Amino acid sequence: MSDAISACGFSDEAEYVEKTAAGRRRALHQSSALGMESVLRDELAEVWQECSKPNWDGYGAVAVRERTYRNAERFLLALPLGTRAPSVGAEPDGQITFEWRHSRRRILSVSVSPEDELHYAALLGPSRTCGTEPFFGEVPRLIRELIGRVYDVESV
Amino acid sequence: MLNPSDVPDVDPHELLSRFVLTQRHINRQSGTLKADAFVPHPHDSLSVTRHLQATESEIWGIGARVASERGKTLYGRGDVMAASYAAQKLRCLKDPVPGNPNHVNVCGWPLNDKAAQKLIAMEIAAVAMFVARRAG
Repeated sequence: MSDAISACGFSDEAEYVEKTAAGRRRALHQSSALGMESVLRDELAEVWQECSKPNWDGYGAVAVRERTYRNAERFLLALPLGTRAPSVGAEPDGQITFEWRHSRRRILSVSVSPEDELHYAALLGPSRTCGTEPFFGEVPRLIRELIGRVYDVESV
Repeated sequence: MLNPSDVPDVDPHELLSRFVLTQRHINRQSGTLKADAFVPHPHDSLSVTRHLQATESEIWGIGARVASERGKTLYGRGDVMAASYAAQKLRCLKDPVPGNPNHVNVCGWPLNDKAAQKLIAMEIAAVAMFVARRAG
């Protein structure tokens, strides 16, 4: 069973809890030593600004939607504290990407969609994997593990 | 450049260039191309230019014109052997167009499978040589 269990309830109380937790996560992420606040503030904002118009890549790319940007923001803030900062980009279908790269063959790319899905692909030395995981506010364990494996060269 | 009336099929040993028109496709930390640059979706093929019978200047000239026609900046190109695309079960099909007889479409991407497309694009990016455009 996936541990990406929804953390989103629908009552007023549930919404309050989620907003409070999100605020605390963001406060922790503001530490440049621990969090993603700088990535959010800089790279993600730049991607949103540059890729929110059609044909942003010159090859007819779909514009990145605000919902996708918000999902990407939630994904970054949901990453465990201390996670290495990814490189932020976008794909022609309008999804925002996060890339963790150690070398040419130790890479993970995660695409954030507007439909609460994470599409991932990874090269881990001679191995490779890809798939799709739901995203309801918590980073799926599989994604967290893949981030670690990108930099775990001794496990090759 | 190739003679538009006599364009041969793409040979596996040919070099093919993907022009980079956005900085978002370049990993700032490593200076390499991201898989993002090689993802065809929402299209079903990837547009590239072959080096056959073209000088370096002509290749850059095509890239500059592609960028200009789209109102974009040419940041560089990603060079990949046709055999590398074939290794991912893709087909490199000649597709001469007005102004670029060296144009090629890379076809055969898995349709309706986002993750599989990402993985193939990642494999291509891993072997691509990024050549940055020099000013002047």
